[in-house]
Amino acid sequence: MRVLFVYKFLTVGGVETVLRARLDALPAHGIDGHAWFFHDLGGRSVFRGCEERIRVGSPAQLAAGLAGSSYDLVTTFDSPELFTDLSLPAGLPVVVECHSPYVENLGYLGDLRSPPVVEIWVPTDFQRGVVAARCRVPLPIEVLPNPIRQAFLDPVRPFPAPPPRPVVAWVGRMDELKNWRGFLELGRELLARGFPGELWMAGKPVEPAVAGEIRRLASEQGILPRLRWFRELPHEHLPAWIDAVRDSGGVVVSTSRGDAFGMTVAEAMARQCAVAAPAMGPFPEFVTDGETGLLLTPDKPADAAKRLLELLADGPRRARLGANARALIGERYTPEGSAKALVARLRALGATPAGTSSA
Amino acid sequence: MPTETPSTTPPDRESRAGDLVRERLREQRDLALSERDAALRRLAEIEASAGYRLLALFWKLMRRLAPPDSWRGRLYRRLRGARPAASAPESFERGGNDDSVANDPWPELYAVEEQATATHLPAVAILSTVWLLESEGQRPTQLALELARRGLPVAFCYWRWWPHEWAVQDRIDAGIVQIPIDLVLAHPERLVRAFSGHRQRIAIVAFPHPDLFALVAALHAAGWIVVYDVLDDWEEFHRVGQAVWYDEPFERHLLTGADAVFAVNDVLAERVRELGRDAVAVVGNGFRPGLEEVFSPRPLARGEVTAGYFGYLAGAWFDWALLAAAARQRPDWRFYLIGYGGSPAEITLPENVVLLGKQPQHALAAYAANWDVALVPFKPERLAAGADPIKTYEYLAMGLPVVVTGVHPPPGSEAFVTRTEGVDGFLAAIALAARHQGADAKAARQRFAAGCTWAHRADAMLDAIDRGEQRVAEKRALMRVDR
Repeated sequence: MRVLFVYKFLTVGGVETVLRARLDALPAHGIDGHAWFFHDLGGRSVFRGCEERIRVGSPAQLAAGLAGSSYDLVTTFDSPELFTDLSLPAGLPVVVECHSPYVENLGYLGDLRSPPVVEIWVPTDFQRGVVAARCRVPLPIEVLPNPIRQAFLDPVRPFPAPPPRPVVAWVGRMDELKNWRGFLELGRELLARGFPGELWMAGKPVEPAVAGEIRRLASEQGILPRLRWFRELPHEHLPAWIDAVRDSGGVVVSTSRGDAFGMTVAEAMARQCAVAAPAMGPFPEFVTDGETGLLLTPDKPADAAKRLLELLADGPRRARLGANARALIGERYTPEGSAKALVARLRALGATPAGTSSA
Repeated sequence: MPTETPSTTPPDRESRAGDLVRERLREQRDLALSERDAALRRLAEIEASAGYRLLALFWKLMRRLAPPDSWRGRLYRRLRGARPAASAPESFERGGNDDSVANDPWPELYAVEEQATATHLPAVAILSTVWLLESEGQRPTQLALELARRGLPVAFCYWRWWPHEWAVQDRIDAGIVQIPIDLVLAHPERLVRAFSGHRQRIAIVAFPHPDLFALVAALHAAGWIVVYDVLDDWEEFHRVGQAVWYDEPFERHLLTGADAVFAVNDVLAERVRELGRDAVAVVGNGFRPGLEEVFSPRPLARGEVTAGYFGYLAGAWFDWALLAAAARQRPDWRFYLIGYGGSPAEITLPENVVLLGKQPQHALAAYAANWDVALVPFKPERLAAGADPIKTYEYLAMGLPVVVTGVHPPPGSEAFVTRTEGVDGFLAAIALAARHQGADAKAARQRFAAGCTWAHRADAMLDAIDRGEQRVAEKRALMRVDR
């Protein structure tokens, strides 16, 4: 069986990490997975070691590639170009995977038609609600758990040279939705309350001007001296990076205002690191306040800082939250578990097993 | 009798002589280029001035209202009594040469990257305020040259004030590519991704300019070992009107994140700690062996005591008043000053102070051979206290006793370098030092200097990095991929 996953942007983000995990896991189930991107925005590092299974090309090139190809199914991640810019081969079933937290990008859901769309997949119940509210055609919406890459689930070992001070860290795309400004505000509140540690950010600004904005705001808020920014950290280094945060006695936080899943938080949890996330969106589905992390009131940086400082001062509590978090992620979001769910959906949609494809 | 290899000795000698000639020619060229750049800078300043722009606007208007061949133009020239110009330029505006393309340094970066096959050695990027001018011999330059001598490829990124200023790209064979920092900031990914095949990449940041914020962040993420080399008290430079760009929160930011921090002396190391960075190592300045050799004598008139100084003469730290007062009190002594970058301004120097201007580096030892004592007469202020003058090491390598004000003797040199203050103390220290002229004393000074070469300094830095000191081990662990 051959499946093609189509996504607009090749960048370092949640969709790419999901795709990478799928490409790693599917061959064991006799499924040959490939990925196609329309624009390369610097995310090839996510696919290091399996570059031959990804392609970057325009929708027209994709159309040419699909004509006469042997794909049994195409899934598309929030890439309406698949419907608007090219004609799909007749009879090729399409699954829409809606992972985008950017509501302005979800207008296409209202235009979906069946066929070719046979089903919609989402990563969380929260996203199911988002999608259901926008679809005009009654398509089945299935929750397919996101896989966490194996590198995050590998055994946890002590970080060999922990940072000298506790680290409060933030990872993500540096845009308004992921709310990097919120992290700077949180940092200001932490430092104002005597936090002795460092503030780490890993991410790349979507707009180049954001770099200057980060410096200006961080300087204004008095946190620039404690800020350590890793601009465009390759995804393969993220597990070690989180290990460093954990063993510094630190916490990974999210200040996101919109996530379909919350991959960066889930990855930190997989590394047994204590996390704090906003009590909104998908986070409460896997962060239980006081058990697997902290749920913070969104846009209340002073309150968040108080709760974080309590957690930072309580090593055993951090360790307990981290252990619970890792157990939960290991239970729900392993590549194997996600792959099984994915394979089950693929087979339910009538795809044929490997080797017996009609092509 | 040791067996010689006559077949190789003469060519070796010839080769060394050739190197020497080449080095001197390069130095002369650097001097000429720095004079050219200074002239261009002055020109650009004039052109940027309001007066010049007004005048240019006036002439532009005149050319429009009274073109040379029009009746108005002829009338104007008649009224001014001027003859038509034979070949007047079409425009006052500079330009026409697309320097940005002609000097594009990126192919050279790739060339240096390609020729650096010893990938087990680190690759180095140096972000420097100064140019790679051996004649000025600053620390980033000397480190770049020393590292390149060891086979490490070096991207030397220099600050420039004007886009028409370009370093001559003449050290590619030696493994050094020179890139203006503004171009690096415009295309940070080109530097950040360079030398990715090397076991280790080291970025030495030699000044805390806030514009480096995003570049440093990218270097960190790409696994470069980011070193902040603290050469000066930048905040104090800022206070006295230089380093206008300085921003203390950014320097603190740089210090927090740097994988290793080196400071040139204890004073700066202490300041680093005050700024919130606990881990810092002192790696002093050094000198380049060979500088102490006298190639052709440069006799100077001697005084009862002859003292001298060479180096930068910036009024921000050079104590002209002290020197003038001392010279007035000892009219039979002679003081020679070799250097650039400043003048006594309103201070009148007595006749026994002789300014020799900027001299080629290879001639310094010949001048200094006339001196009994070498001086570092800096103001007793915070700016000087943060300095570790390279000239101190060079004086000692020349065998001279040294008297300093404002700065501190390098650790271990206290027997050879006298720190003093005030005119009386200064004179007394010079008089005392002038008596230490014996061969043994000279040899002791030279022995001390021999342990302070740039090679020793490069060793100290590379060894610290190699041992994973400060936060280097942390960075390596962050970048480890063993899953």
